[in-house]
Amino acid sequence: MKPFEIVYPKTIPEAVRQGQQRDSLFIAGGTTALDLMKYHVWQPSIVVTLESLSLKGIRLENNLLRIGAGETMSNVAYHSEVGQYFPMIKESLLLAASQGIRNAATIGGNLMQRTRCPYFRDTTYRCNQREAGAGCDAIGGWNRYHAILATSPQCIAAHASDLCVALAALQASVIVYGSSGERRIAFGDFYQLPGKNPEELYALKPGELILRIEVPYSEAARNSTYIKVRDRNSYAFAISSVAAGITLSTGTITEVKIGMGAVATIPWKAREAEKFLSGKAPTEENFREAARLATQGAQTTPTNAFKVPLIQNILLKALSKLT
Amino acid sequence: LCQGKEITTIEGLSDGDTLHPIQAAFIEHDGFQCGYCTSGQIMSALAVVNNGHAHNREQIGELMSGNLCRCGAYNGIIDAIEEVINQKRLTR
Repeated sequence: MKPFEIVYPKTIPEAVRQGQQRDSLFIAGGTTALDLMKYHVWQPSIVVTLESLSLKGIRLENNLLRIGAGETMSNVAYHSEVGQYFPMIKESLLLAASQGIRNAATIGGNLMQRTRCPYFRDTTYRCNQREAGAGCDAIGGWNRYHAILATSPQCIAAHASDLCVALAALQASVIVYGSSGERRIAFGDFYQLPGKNPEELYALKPGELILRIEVPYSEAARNSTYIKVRDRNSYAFAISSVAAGITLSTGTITEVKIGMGAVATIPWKAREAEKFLSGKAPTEENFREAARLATQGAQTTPTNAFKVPLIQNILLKALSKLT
Repeated sequence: LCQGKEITTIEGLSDGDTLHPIQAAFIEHDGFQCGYCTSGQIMSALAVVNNGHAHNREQIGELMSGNLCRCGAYNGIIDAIEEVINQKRLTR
């Protein structure tokens, strides 16, 4: 690991100033940052710890769930109101990582975690996310885990977070703080598609720090679930996953929220499927059509084409479970 | 990270020659063979018991996940943790 200086800012503006310095890195739980530093993927000169800042708190008030960026995955998962009113958030957290990691890893870090594409994490390969313009060894390489939606000729790396699938479905907001103060970023704008510049993954400006996320409550959030398929039944990243929530009124779907994980380069909201199901009856036929629409335009490789029927079946299972 | 925090290692569990109930339960239920992973297993088990989120064998297994035992003592490990959780319930 490259030697680095570690600093402990006491206030948020001070953390932002330190985060604006060249080659600086924010660190909270450290569960993913330390790995990437050991692999030489990240080589910061200054590591800015966030533990002295007050980024804690989980509150549900006026139909808005606020989660401090410094809360751990465990604290959020076991919070009684999160479990009662946002089951897809609870389930997505408890199906992620291991308990040891969940006890240390933070919500802000979860949003900022990088892809598990092996070519990103091994510096002997080319990767456009790691190094602008380097090329991509995943395309044409080993890509069974890779994305089938929102890919580009520059990058097919899947986003790895489970929580973010639920946050995409529920249209959360990310509240950040930077040199010009606080601002709100819609979850759908927080991640940038890997077009010409896959290395620019986030809509964050230099030094901007995540303060909290806000998730609006809805009946569909209460009647929701997260289903994850992985190669082994515990402590593994998703091969495909679905976060879904539905509100029914007299036999009609009045509201539906669908997120899909490990199939797209960013946390994916299945807008076409949502639009189709809205106002329809909760029948298997309609669910099948929604699943078809959700994967329309998928770009597959010979080894990840199985994700198309897999994610369709998971979506079908989730929607059937909720109705 | 861990600035200002108290850290307990396996050496800090027993009270002199008296083993911690989790250590005693691991011996009672053959929760190890070679012993290489045991310190980590016991420290994770302590967190599982103290956090109070495990109520059955399946949940114990899930919350202990990530601690690998190449000897395959998993059943004994889960037996030991289950016993300590049950004891705790009785004495509460």
